[in-house]
Amino acid sequence: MNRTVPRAALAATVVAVLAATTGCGGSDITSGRLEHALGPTFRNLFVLQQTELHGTDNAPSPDTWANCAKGGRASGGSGPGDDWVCLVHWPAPSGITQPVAYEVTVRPTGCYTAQGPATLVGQQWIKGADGHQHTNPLYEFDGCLDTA
Amino acid sequence: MTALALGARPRGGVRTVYLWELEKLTAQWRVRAVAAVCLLAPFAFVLALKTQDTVPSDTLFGRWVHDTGYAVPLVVLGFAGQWGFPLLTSVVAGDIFASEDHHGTWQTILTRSRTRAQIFTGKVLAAATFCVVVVALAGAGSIAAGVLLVGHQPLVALDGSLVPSGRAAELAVLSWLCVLPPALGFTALGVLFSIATRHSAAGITGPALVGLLMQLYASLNGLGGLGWLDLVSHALLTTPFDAWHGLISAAPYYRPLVEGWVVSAGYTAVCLAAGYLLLRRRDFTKG
Repeated sequence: MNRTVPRAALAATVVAVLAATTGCGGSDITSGRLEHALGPTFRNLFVLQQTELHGTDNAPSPDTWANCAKGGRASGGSGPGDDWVCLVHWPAPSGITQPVAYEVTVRPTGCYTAQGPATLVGQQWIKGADGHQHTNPLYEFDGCLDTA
Repeated sequence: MTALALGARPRGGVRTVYLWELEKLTAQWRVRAVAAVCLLAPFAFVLALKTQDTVPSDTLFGRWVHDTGYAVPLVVLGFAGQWGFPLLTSVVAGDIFASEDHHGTWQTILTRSRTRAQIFTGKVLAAATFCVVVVALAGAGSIAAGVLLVGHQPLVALDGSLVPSGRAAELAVLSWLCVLPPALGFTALGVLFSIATRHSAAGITGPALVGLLMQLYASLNGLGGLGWLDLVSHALLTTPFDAWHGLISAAPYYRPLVEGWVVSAGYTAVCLAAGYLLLRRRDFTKG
């Protein structure tokens, strides 16, 4: 054993860590990425809620569209915070799609919590078609965005 | 373990040191207590949850703890990654070198025809083994607690899709495996603290404090929006603890995992290299 081995290892790791960290500049959390994550998640959870409520999913399935904005802007913005608002399409039973606003908190880890209007999406607990109480998937939901 | 140590007396120095360290570890009440807590705490957690209606909704999957048992290991993982692993792994890593100072036994073991490199390697391997065992016990304990006490219903993934029971179990195991690299990074940090401070208490609390500071930085960075300092949060050893999030989805993504492996390997290599240099240059004749 000589002393050059640990030093070489140290130099190699410093280079590796720098290379890994410099590849990504700016904030990882953008409106585009949030929309890309939240839209499909809402769609999947809507199907899940309808299945729990009615046994089968016979409601018109919503699309994966979402429009997110941070801090009162019309659209866009970036970075973590509790002032995100995301619009998604809520398919009303009449067949007319209306936009629903979710208040979204995005944490620095890239995971978010979205809370919807209880008047439309229902309370925290819902009674399912099977007579049991279920966690309402749309009342509040979590997700994470791919920050790549 | 005793049978193993007695049965095989190899000439390889590292192996002898490693087995001897494991034997010392298994005899410590502190090590046994940590192992027992890792295995049993998830059961206590689930039993406590079952007595109330509220859910730990501030943690990922916390909303689903009453609906599926597979949410339990993921909730525990969220907690443990944030606070537990740096402290748990340091219980051994932070003490394994400093205890020789505490007992004044460095001169004794260094005259046992084992080189410093062999002693260093054996002790580091023993500390790493403990880290792996702790993660395995806590993971197995929380999966068992969830499935036995709540059930094996399908899991709602982070993209809202339903994951069937078998696949959910696989994902829980995979997620727990994903925290091994950063946990081993904190083990290496504990080893470095142990060698540098020569004091067990500092060795055990040091890495936990570093973990806490890293998390504080990450959350402040998030609140203040410090711009380019976002880069620093990628280089924190606590960030890879969250890398498993990408797996729990119908469209999984792996970049945080790969990045986490690189960062963890970097910390491990730097801490072990620095620790080895300190140990190698130390003058034990002065006591």
